[in-house]
Amino acid sequence: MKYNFVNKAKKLTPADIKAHMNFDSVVKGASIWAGFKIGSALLKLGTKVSTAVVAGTSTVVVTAAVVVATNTDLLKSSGDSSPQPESQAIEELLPVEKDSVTQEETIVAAKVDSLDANAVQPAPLQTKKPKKVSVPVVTSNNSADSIKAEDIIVEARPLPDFQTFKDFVDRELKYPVDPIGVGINEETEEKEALEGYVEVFWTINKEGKAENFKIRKSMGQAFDNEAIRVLKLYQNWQPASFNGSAVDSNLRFKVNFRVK
Amino acid sequence: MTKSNISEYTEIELIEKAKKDKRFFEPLYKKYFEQVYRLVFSRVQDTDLAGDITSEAFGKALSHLNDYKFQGYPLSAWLARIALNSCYDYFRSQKKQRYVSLENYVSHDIVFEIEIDDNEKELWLTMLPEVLEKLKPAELELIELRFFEGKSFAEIGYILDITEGNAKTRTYRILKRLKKHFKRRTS
Repeated sequence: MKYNFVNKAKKLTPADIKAHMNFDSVVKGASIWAGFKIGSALLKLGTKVSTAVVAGTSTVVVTAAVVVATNTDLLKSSGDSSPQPESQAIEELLPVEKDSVTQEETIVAAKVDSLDANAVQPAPLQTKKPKKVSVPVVTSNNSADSIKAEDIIVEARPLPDFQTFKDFVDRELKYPVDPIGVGINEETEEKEALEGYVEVFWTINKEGKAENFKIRKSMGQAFDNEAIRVLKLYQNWQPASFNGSAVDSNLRFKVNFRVK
Repeated sequence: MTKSNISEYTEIELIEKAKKDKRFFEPLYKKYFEQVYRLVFSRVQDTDLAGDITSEAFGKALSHLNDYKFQGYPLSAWLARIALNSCYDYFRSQKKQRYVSLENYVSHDIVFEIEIDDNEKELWLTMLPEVLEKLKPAELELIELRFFEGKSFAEIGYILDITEGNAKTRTYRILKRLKKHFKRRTS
């Protein structure tokens, strides 16, 4: 699922909010919505729940007709005949069935009171394709291309490109000679070299300067210092930008130590 | 029973009155406008658009006031439910995406639940987008309604049309998932 992320929400003043208050237009607008179902089932918790609700309501419909035998058949067919590509979906279906029992009860109980019992009650035909119910939700996510016009976030990156930066690190990185970084093989009691990586976390500020280096995953002091030393040497960064203006951002990078 | 001043009515009386005469809805509109507006605004981040969607939500509420029955939840929960559905209607029809403001996710409560130390907050903030993109909109709403709007599980259940127990279970499952993501990345 794609969302638009903002670091800081805009602050609203009471005047901003008051400016949008217009009761008369609401009264006028109210007549437009008279025929609409307001509790549209848009905000469902994915396929899981929509399947559960469909199964639940279908039982309600069938038991109302007092055909208990078809009831189980219907439930079965809704499970079997539906094309479920992901095996995960089927696995998840099982615990949900339990839920659907309670949900079914609440639906019956709340049927009279609930505002939108109709909205979540599809025709019995639909039970054969539980997946279909969630289709609108899915399609709304896929159209990423038309949206990005609003906030453009570009992450910080090394100049001229990432490969150059990696090559630079490989070239500059020296395996520390400090004994702290050398382990001792327990069986032969000989010194042996350590291999692994150090994960470094640092900030690229607005001016494109790297600073504030921190170790996320350490391999010992000697390796950590060597990794930071090399990363500090590289000072050709393009800062991250938010809608065209440079901002501070953080980077993570794994520095690998291998014995040649 | 006649009351001379409109402010003497209780909320439930006002709703009953408003079912017949729309003018009685105005005090309720004034009372809840800001609350609903802020709810919508935090998801669309645009003052005019939030105004439109809020008006739409109130319009829908007013036209369906006859369907409203007091079930132990405040009117604001019903309005929030309509407003949220209006928001997602808009996102779907206009092919827009919901805004998520990251600053809230380093607030005290949520940081406490996921067990993030103070010095790890920075890292958490950089990880957030990739973590949150794994969540479905309704899951995001669960977290935000609970921790940022401070609503009870019963009310959240009513807004999202699930049971109270289900809302609670799901919320803690999501927190567990977030925590797992975080621990996996840092250890």
